[in-house]
Amino acid sequence: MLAYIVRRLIQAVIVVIGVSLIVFLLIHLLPGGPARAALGARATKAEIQAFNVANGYNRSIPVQYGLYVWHLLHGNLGYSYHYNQSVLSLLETNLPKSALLVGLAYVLALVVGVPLGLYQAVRRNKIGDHAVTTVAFVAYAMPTFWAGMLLILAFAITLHVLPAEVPQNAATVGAILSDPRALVLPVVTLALVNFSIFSRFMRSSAIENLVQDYIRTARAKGISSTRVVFRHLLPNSVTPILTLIGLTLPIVLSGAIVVETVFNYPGMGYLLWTAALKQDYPVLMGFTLVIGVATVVGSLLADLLYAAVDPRVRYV
Amino acid sequence: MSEQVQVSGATSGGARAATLVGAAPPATTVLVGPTAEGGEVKPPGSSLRMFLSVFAENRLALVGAATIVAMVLFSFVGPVVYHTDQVHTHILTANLAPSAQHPLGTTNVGYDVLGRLMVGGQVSLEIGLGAALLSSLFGAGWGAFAGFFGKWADSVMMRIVDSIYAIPPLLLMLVMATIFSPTTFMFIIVVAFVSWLPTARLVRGESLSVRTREYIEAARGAGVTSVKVIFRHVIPNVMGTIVVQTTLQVANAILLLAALSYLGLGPPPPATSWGAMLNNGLNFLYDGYWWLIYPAGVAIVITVLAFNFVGDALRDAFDVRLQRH
Amino acid sequence: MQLNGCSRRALAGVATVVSAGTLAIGFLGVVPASAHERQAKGSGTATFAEIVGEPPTYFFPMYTASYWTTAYVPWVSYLMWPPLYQWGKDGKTQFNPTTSLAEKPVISTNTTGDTVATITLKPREWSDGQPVTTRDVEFWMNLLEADKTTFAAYVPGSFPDNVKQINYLSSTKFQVVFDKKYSTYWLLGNELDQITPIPQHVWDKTSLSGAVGTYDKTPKGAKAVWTFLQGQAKTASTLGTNPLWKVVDGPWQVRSFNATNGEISMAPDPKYPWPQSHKLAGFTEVPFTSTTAELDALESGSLDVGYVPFTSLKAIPQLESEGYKIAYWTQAAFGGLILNYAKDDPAAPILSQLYVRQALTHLVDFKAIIDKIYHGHASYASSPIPNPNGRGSNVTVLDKKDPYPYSVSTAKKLLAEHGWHVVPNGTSTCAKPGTGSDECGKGVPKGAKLKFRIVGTQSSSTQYALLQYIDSQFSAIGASMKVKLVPEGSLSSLAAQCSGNVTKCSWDMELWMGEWPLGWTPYVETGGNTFFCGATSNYGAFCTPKMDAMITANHESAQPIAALEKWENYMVKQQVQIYMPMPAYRVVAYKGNLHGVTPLDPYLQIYPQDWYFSK
Repeated sequence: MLAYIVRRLIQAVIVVIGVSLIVFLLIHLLPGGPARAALGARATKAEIQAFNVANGYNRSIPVQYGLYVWHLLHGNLGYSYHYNQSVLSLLETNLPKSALLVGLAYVLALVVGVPLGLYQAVRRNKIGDHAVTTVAFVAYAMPTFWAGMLLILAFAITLHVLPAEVPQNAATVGAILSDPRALVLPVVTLALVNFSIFSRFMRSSAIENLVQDYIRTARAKGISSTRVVFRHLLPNSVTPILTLIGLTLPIVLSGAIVVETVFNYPGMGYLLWTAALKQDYPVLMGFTLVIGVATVVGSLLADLLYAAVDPRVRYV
Repeated sequence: MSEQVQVSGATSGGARAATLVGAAPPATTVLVGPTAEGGEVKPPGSSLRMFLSVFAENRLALVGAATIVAMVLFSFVGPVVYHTDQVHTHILTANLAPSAQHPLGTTNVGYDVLGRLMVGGQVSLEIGLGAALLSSLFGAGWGAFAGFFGKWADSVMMRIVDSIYAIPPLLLMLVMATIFSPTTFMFIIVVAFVSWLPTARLVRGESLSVRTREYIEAARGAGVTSVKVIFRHVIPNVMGTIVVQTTLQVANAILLLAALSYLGLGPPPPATSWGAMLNNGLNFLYDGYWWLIYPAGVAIVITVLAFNFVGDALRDAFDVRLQRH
Repeated sequence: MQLNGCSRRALAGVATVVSAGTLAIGFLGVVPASAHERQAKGSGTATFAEIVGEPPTYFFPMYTASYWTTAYVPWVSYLMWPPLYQWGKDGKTQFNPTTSLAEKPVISTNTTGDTVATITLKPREWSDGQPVTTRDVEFWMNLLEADKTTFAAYVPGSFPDNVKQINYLSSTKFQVVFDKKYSTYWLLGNELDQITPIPQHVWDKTSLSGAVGTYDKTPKGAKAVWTFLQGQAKTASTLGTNPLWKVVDGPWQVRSFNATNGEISMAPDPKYPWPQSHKLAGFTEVPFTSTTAELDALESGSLDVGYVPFTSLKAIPQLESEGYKIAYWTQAAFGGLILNYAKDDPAAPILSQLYVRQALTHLVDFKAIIDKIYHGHASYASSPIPNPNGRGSNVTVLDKKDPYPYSVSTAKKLLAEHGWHVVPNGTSTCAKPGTGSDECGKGVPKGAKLKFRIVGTQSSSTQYALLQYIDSQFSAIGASMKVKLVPEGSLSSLAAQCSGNVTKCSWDMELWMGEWPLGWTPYVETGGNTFFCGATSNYGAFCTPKMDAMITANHESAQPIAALEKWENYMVKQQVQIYMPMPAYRVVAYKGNLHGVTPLDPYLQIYPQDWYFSK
């Protein structure tokens, strides 16, 4: 087990390096370059030159990568010319807001998805099972931005019961919570996809457990169905969902880019989106790297958790 | 090793991570995990088989296949029957509500929406199929080689997969679509670039398990070259996975293409895709032009559903075969 | 007063409208003069919508290119530190003597024939009670010289490169000696207007806690001061509290700044020469993350001056019923289809043919674009000189008539007459090469294809619709278009890649409506930055001796208006770029009881010092 953990950690570090390299190269492939993006079309060659020298962009690519890593190691994620703030401080302001959105969406998806999946497993191939399956498949097949549009159309424009956006000037989590109604639509939209994943996941996991010996034994002992479901089936089937949560941790960081832009939710995803459109390279690079690292950490945790709870995994 | 649990995460909002569609519904692919570990653990395929009664499974698959055929006919044969000008704008007849002349109204530059759904469908299906095939080919090749050779090759190749996997696909696509010229082929490559990773992981896992089988060890012992072994023995053994994955990837690619359009990087005019039509419709959310918002979305949902149904049924069928094997 | 002599037409109306100390308001008759007695004294805070996603994040009237934005320069900087000379008055592109910090310059010619501008500062005070003096001008000049290349408005060869000498004659008077004879009109609109007095007695230091000195007197010291101030200016978190930024000579002073969302709240500067007492008690610029959010704020009545997004114009009647008034903010700007003349590109010789550009222009139905794409909220444009709705331009276009009216048949005919084999919806080819009047023209070989690579964006629905329209229209003469879509932000990078004197470029046409907004220097479009051989913003690398000669005349002629008119008419005929109707900058909605908002300034400057609420 220990050897597995160590090897897994080494792998994670290698992947993080890989991520930083890819992020760096991708951004350098974009036409125009960071100087032009920061200074605009009217900037003269001299200005571009001065900017490049000041930021080291005139150095060779390997040296630039070295500098980039050096800054990263010193906690310097870069500086956004567009916002006049360090990427780190932008992260500090926006990460909690995205975490709130995605956290709520996950809670909702779990609260709805897990019981439904369980219900489907128990009522397998009955009409209720098919109904939930259909809903999950359709939810899954909807482009997220379209789902968001439809919800806005229905609840904000036609019925006027829910706002289409969070309060503006919502600089903090507290400010966003000042009007919780505004969170409903984005949270539901984001939860839609995850609900379908969780319910399908839960369903197959529970079905698998249903045929296991301990359930049969429990049933044979005459324990009531409800009791079997809640005392035995649920705890045993929910394990994979736990790892799924660990694995999808990066969603908190990637901030559901589309949902945030559809609902103008001022989180990381929205910022990343704006940065992409406005070519705010430092924000793009910094946030992408953070998301990448979080993805790696998330899957590391999920793997370790999985290994811990499932003795069947052999540590080759 | 690492990739036990392969998640589905909707990692970055709309551009669901490539695994997503493949992953979501029946949990087999979602939790490839144990399977991928050299076959030590029996895949939860039995659960899959149980979850769909044979009857329901066939019916869904049939409905899915029929829908796909209908969509292909609609997109490719439809324009022959229903003539519209999808090349020239007609801005003097823009934003018309549905009428006898334009059953689904017109767009903001005067294209007939029904006709546009057809040409948009052509692009969506072509790119969807193309990207799915390409990503499966590349992913399967990558995974088969990594799994078969193991050791360093495997480590390096899979770390590359992990690294790309960790970057939000929306951003990968954005950068690539900005750099390259937007031809259909380029779109296929861009979409495939973010979709080949789960296939590579899946196939690697299976190929890891396949290579320990006796007949393969025998073949290697007999001096058959590795490449031959891979193509003769490994690939055929993982064919089921590849076929299923390809089908599901079509659905996934259509969704990714829609997400790309949402970024404003859809097919260049006068071409369009369903996603691009939807993205354009987004601008008129407050104007009440419902015909710019519903048809393209419904087309996407129906098509994605159909491919998912078929993919599911295929997987089930392959699993059954494997059980008997 | 040579200035008055030669640009009488340009400045017509100035003398009649302005009497000292009175701010002209209500040009459009929105505010009757009798409204005066109704006005509340220094009451109410007006709120104004910032640009979505572009909050101001910088406080220093010397800005590098990255801060040269509407959100910052006219909406923050000019409110706190107005420039020496400001243009934009009564909704017209005219010199504004009222808001300018100095009297109009007295222009003369010295013994060597060079232009000399003698400038007298108006008696004004900094908000801390110190007078604004020529030392503050000198301080600015020293900082500029220390690092002029990074100053956004700097154009190599122009100000301050063409300044031979500056003589500071007294605390209120100074003299700028130029290196040759220049058009006074150009000097006032594009050169002297860059100067911005800044408080030397507060800012001339190199650290926040350090003492104020005379560091700026040496180049090294000036550079250190400049670096220090830039550093402070970029520290968004302290912009609202840093004592440096509290010292202003404009009408407004920062009260608070929210670095997280970019909300900026301003208080009246007590030392500003308010006509009576100041009219508003405060002025706040409010950030939004989307246009729909902004519209929501209007509909809920929480915003005094905002705008109706183009995709939501249906909201106008509702807003009007809630007491808002609607005004169109036309911008002095030009944009459209930029053509590429980089000489090594295959399409360049074709686009260099006037008849080809004429044919392309004939294919664009301006009226249909204005009506259907912009729903009427755009103004006709046929040249780079702004002429929003025919109002406000300094220059009379001699040819008021559209020289190339919409006509597909004329376009086809033009090509056919010049030796092209026209294949509508296909690809036309040159059948008769040569330079004769019925041949394809210089550099166009036999069999050359009418094929263009065009760049556009899908990020804006109107620009995308326009792109689709152009793509479709051009096919009528067999122009085969290869379209590339990029994010909106890439349009400027791509344009810049093909500017100056490049010989090869990745596109033949780029549709970019945001190409060239005028205002906050240069105020007057002369082509110097945009069409002169090798100029930084000469996107598409157009370069002809004739154009250069005309632009030089714009800068140096003793009859600048005549020169500009001649150039303007030449531009209309030439269609160096295919200018497209300019959409209104914003469809502004403002509270009915807030007066003085209109007329809106074509340079996008705002004058909240003129605004007031009626009871």
